[in-house]
Order: sequence, then C-alpha cells, then structure tokens
Amino acid sequence: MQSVLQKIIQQIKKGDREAFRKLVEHYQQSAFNLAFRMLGDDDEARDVVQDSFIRIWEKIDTYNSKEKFTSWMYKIVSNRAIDRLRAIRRRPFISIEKLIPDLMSSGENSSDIYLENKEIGELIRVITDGLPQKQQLIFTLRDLQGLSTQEVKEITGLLESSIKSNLYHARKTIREKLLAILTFERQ
Amino acid sequence: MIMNCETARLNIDQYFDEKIREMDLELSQHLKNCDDCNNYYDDCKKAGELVTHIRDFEPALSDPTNLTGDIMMGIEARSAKSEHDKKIIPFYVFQNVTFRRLLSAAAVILFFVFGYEQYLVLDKINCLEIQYQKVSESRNNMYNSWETSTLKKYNYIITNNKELIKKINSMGNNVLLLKIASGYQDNNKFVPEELYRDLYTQKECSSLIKKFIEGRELLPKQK
Repeated sequence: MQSVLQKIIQQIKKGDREAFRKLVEHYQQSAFNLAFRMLGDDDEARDVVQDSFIRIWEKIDTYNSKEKFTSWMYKIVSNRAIDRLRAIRRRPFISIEKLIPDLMSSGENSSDIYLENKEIGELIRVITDGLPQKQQLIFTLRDLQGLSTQEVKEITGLLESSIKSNLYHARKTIREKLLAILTFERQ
Repeated sequence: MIMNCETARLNIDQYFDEKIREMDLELSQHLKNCDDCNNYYDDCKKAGELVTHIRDFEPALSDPTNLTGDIMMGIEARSAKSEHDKKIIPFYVFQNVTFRRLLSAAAVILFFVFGYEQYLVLDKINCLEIQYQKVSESRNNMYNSWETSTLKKYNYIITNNKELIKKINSMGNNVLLLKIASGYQDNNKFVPEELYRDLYTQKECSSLIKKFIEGRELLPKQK
C-alpha cells in the first residue's frame, strides 16, 4: 500500500488531479475523524477537512516521502482544527448530565450504545472544554484518535516528555470533570 | 503497611491511565475496605469507558462523494486564482533586495533628471524676469546695461517652452526690445527689421540689429 501511495503522491506532484481525487477518497474519513474529535461538530469538521485537502494539494511538493503520510496529513488537519477552534465561539452545550447517565445505564458492552454524531460531538466538547489547546490536541490524538506516542511526536513536533506531561494533565482535568458529574448523579 | 486513600487514588489514576492489567494487591485490599475509594474506582472506570466509547465511535461522514467534489472544486478555484495571480507582479518580487536597489537607483536617477529639468525651467524664468527688470530700469539710460549675451542664452528656452512664450507675451510692450535682443520671433510675425524699414535700408537695419544683439550698439529710436 505504501508503494501505491507513493506512486499516487508522485503523480499528484506532477499535477495529476485524478490521482489527488483517489487520495481524497481514501483519506477523507480519517481526516474527518480527527477534525470531528477535535471540534465536536460535523459541519466545522467537514470545513476543516476541505481546507486541509486543499492545503495538501498546494503543499504536496513539501511532503517528504520518508515521513508517514497520515502523520503529515494529521499535522495539517490538526493545525486547521486549532485555527478553527480559535475562530469559533463554542455553542452552548445540551444537557450533558442527561446524556451521560443514559450512556452509562445502557449496559457494559459499549457496542450496544448507539450515539449519533451530534451527541458524541457534545460529549467531546464537554470533556475538552477549557483545556489548553496543546493538552486538547495531545489528548485527542492519543486517547480519542488512538495514535501512538511516536505518531503524536511526529505530528506535534513535541518531545516525548512534553507529550506525557500534557496528556497527564489533560486526563486529570477530564477525569475530574466526569467524576463531578457522575458523583452528582449518584447522589 | 496499610495504603492510605491519597496513595490509593493516585494508584487508581495510574491503573487506568497506563492500562495496567493486574491491579496491585495492596490497592485491591484497600478498595475492599474503603467505600469512598471504591466509588472513586467505579467512577474512574466509567469515565474511562466514556472516553473509550468516543474513541471507538467513528463519526459518520455524510455524503462523502459530495465532500470529495467540494475539495476538487476548491483546488480548481485555487488553480484559477493562481494563474490570475501569476499575471500580477507578486509581492515577493518587491521584497527582493536586488530589485529594491534597482528601483531605488531608478527613482534617484528620475529625480535628478526631471528635478534638474524643472530646476532649469524655473531658474530661467527667474533670470528672464530679472533681465526684463533690468531692461525696464535701463530704458532711461538708453539701455546701457543690456546684457545681450545673457539674453541670447535664454533664447533656447524661450522658443521651446510654451509657458515662457506665454509669459513673455504677457509682459507688454517693454519686452519688445528683449525680444529683439534675444532674436525672438513670435510665430514669424515679428521681424525686427520692420521697425526701422522707413529709416534704413534692409542691409543697414540688419547690421544695426546685429550690433545691438552683440551688445556693441544701442538701438536707435523708432521714427
């Protein structure tokens, strides 16, 4: 797959738009996942994906084939998402206290729980709200996107120690926030 | 040694953060005897499950074909804009040091060339006005102070500058002598010799004018 991908990228570097279309079709879902997990909003994530791929088209000459393509792509997507986070005013949340007990009472098996984009988006926004942007980025990449520390390092350009420290603080804040809600529900 | 609640909670955090498979025996014993920490453990577990739910949930991308189409249209629009921008001198050209130096040099040259030309015109208008003043003042002294060589020097400008011609013409009768002295002719209508044709022959008149222009003789009075 890597060699096929590299061939496609070479064609794109020569200005082949059909090759670029193939790349978009293959990677737009992954890019959307990350944008959505950072923004918690369908439409905003969609805009970020669109902007990011246009950026990829414009900057494809700067892509180094030694670098993992998805890491390079996630770097562009996360930068765009951070810009968007700065620009938009977050919308008021829905009643998250209602959403969490529903989620928790649905059973042990997480696959039983069906949540629409909108509800998951709200959850993401609640748990990441107020986090410093660096912590939010690292938490999203590591815990929500499920990337390895090495990949997070490539995307953010941060040292491993810094990644661990930011992740620790992000998790702590999020856990405290969720515990407060869960404790309130128990009482 | 019995584990206290603070240490137990730190261990619980670590247990979930680092996804440790087997719980520490000491922590396990503490949880059996401490309801608060046991609740904390349950809540941490639920919080962790919640994050796992989010991670495992793949957000549905509605109408992916449409998104691909939008992206392709976006790059078409950018390419068209890029082609348009190529026709305009890009800003980075102005940031080029060599280009800026050339531009500065050209500006300095243009300043000197046009500035000097402008200076010449203004200076000659000024000189001419001074000279005219001398003509006026010297009329009572039979034009003794005429500087015909100076007047001739301005002849070039007079005959090649519309603004000056207009100015000279507006000076009135007194400038007539100045015109003669400088050899100035107004659209060939003015012929100095005509002034004296009743007194002198054409040859004599020409000679007088010539001597006058050269500053050797004064002009005789008109009849």
